[in-house]
Amino acid sequence: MSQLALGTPGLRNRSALRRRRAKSAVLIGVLIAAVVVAVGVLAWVLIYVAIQGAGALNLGFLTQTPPGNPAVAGGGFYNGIIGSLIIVGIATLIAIPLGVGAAIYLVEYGRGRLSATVRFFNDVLIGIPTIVTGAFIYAIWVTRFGFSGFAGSLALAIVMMPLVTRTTEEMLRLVPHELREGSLALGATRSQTVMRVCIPTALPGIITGAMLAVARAMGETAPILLTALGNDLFTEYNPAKRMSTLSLQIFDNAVTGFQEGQGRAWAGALTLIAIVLIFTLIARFFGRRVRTSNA
Amino acid sequence: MPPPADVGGGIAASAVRVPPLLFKRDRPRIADRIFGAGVSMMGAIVLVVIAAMIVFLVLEGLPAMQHYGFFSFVTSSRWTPSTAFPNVTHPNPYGILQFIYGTMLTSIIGMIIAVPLAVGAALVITEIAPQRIKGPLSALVDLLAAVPSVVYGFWGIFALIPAIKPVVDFLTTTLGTVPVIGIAFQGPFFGVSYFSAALVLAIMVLPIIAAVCREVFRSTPRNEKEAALALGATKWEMIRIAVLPRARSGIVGASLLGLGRALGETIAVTMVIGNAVLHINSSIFSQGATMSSVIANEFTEATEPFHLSALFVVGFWLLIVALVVNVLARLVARRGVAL
Amino acid sequence: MPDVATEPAPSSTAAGDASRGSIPADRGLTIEKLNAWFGKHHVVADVDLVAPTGKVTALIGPSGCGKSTLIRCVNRMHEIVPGARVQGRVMFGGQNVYDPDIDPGSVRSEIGMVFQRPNPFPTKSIYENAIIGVRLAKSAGSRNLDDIAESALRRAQLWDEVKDRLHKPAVSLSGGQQQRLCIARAVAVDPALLLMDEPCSALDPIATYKIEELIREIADQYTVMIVTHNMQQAARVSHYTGFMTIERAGDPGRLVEFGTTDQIFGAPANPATEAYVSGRVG
Repeated sequence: MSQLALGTPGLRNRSALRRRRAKSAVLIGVLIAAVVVAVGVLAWVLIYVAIQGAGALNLGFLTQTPPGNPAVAGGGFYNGIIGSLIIVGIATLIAIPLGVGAAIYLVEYGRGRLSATVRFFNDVLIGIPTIVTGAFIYAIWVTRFGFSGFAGSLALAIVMMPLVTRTTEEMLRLVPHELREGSLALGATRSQTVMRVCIPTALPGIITGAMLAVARAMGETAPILLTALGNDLFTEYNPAKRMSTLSLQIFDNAVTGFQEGQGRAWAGALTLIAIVLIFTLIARFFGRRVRTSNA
Repeated sequence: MPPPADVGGGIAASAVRVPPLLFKRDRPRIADRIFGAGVSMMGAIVLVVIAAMIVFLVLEGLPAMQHYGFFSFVTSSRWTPSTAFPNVTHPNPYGILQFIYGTMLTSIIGMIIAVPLAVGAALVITEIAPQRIKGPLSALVDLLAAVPSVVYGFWGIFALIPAIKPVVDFLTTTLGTVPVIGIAFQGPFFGVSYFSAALVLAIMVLPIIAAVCREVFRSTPRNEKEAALALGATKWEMIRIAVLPRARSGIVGASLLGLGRALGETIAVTMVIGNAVLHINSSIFSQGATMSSVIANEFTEATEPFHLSALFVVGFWLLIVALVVNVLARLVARRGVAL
Repeated sequence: MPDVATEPAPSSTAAGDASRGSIPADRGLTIEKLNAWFGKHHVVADVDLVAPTGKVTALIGPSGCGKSTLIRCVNRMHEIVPGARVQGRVMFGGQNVYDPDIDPGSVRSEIGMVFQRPNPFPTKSIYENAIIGVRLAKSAGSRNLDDIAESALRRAQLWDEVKDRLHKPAVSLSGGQQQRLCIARAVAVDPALLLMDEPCSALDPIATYKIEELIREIADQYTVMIVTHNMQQAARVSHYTGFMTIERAGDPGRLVEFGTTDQIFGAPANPATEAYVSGRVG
């Protein structure tokens, strides 16, 4: 507080005040520069990808598989797109019920130390490197059953589940206690109250959280590398076999030396970013409306 | 006045409802119990998964650890899989020190860049920006977290590296010639390097740190801010006096969260770091490798004796480091941000 | 003039039911030596009360003296709060609802509860809210759901206002209408006892008036226990009144006096009651 020049008002202190104001303006400017840098980089990335990808992105890209020879132009990432849909789809089917169930446990049933521990380590799990998750699934599944799309789904489910649990828990806590009381007072059991009152009330927010988790899973590459391995040759529909995802295909093609392969990779990057951003924006927009209507 | 009652306060035939003779005893409580047990098991999955991760990574790494000795991995920086032979146990061709070095170096430089930017961005969003653009601005910063890792890596190679090349070349010719510290800044700069990876990491962790800092700053009690302003503080002084002091532990927690993310980031790093695995390179502008990048790079082609097992040893150490940092982060940081 | 009996007559229940065969004499609500705690905090002490069947009993008293806690003990809602504890007996239908063999859910499905703030389920329609008790806990028997809904909404005096928009969301109703919907929801399952915890305190005077009218209308079909901090309301709707208060801050609430409404308000026997109803304290 001593740095505030608290003196008597008057001409004497005007220059001190002016100095302080100037210093404030400069430092605020520095802070604003920080935000500008952050948003600027985002714009740079998006615009660069859009420019590079727009050239190669066409309907053919979305519906064809890559040419056998990476040096040849044309073709597309159809197999990766299908792979992403299947692998992320299966992961979603695993992660959402488990994640919502765990959240129900934390909000409605958990008591004391165990539930605090579960909540804590759920948050820790969110921060585990996804390559480690992939290595883990390799160790317990791929060594026994081989590389497969399903192994990739397992790895992605581990990535998604704690995210779903976290957002679902937040949403369930927002459900007013009076609604639970109203249900219990009618004679409903706890499970009925959860499933027929709490979950439906929290549903918009739960869906938002699920969409964000799906967006995250679509962008993951590392765990897929170690579990589904990838398949650049043809479109695989069977999750018991090796599959590629869009993210992995971008990676594989980006690091080849061939410009044609890289061109496909850019188109893929644009497609992937578009999918992820659309999901994310819809989810966040939806979520904001929910929060204001529930509060 | 209550309505007139019948004589004797009685009931007309069956007009008044009367409780049943016997309350039901065992209603579908069984179903409720099963439900409760079911969701409890789902909650426990988290704990089981983390424990299983540790166990299985150790199991897969055990062959190499038993063959070469547990500590020989972290006391050597020589990673030369081609010199591995099944009957040779010394020296350990799978020294992982340079990966630990690479992970630490890229993460720390990344944090040095990201934390001030993130704190600044968060301050702007909570204290400085006009009400109407707070929301969109904060959404834009959050969007940085949505961009997939592979896209950052791709952009890093073709857009970021060429852009920083002139600057780095300048630095190598100036800072690189300074005695003592110059070693860390020497060229030649081939684009892929520790520094490039650090830059990409900085961008990737910035949104996480900013999001947590935003919540921290937002929880500053209004009357403290108003007290500062009422005393004649300028905007910056108010921030310095009322907002930042309380936020210290929150910023630390946010940074630890970001650090945890930076440590584990794989694909973007692998694409811009160069994957030079032989030994530690002293200059930040030279190529290198991290724990996660070597796993991603060599996993599918690990054919040498004990190669795959050694990669699991790397994975094990990465998991331990990530767990420690994340546990610390969650102990320190606020909750309340869905990341 | 209403009867001036100072004690309710539980045996009157038996008189009406005697024709049904061997049924316990007292099927009404009797609270015996009830104590309640929130953790270590003793909030209700040694309450003995008989709520006359087919009558409206009001509980009045200053805030914080345990009235709401008491009625929540009747339908076993107090215990859902972690750390909450109850001691004593609540006899209803000839059984102690706290008997360890009895499922609390089945008790609650026989007792209706209306809360201070209207709490219709927001994701459900007006119609769905009305019949939800049937869906959740109590079977409809031979009745048809539409009939249940209509009859309940009529009893809650809401039918005319909503009959053309039964499938609109419940939250599209005004506060007073939502509370009447909650009353409909409670009576739809044909409970023998209706508990109302300050049902009008969140409502405007017109909505309050409508609900008081409603209570008077259904009074002869239900046993009602209503907590209110509005003395005039108690005087308007109830036949019997109980006064609860605490002696000193931190003490548990006790039932200090119980009698007919006329007697409590006109000629209270206990000085504390007199002080409260005359407005000198409160």
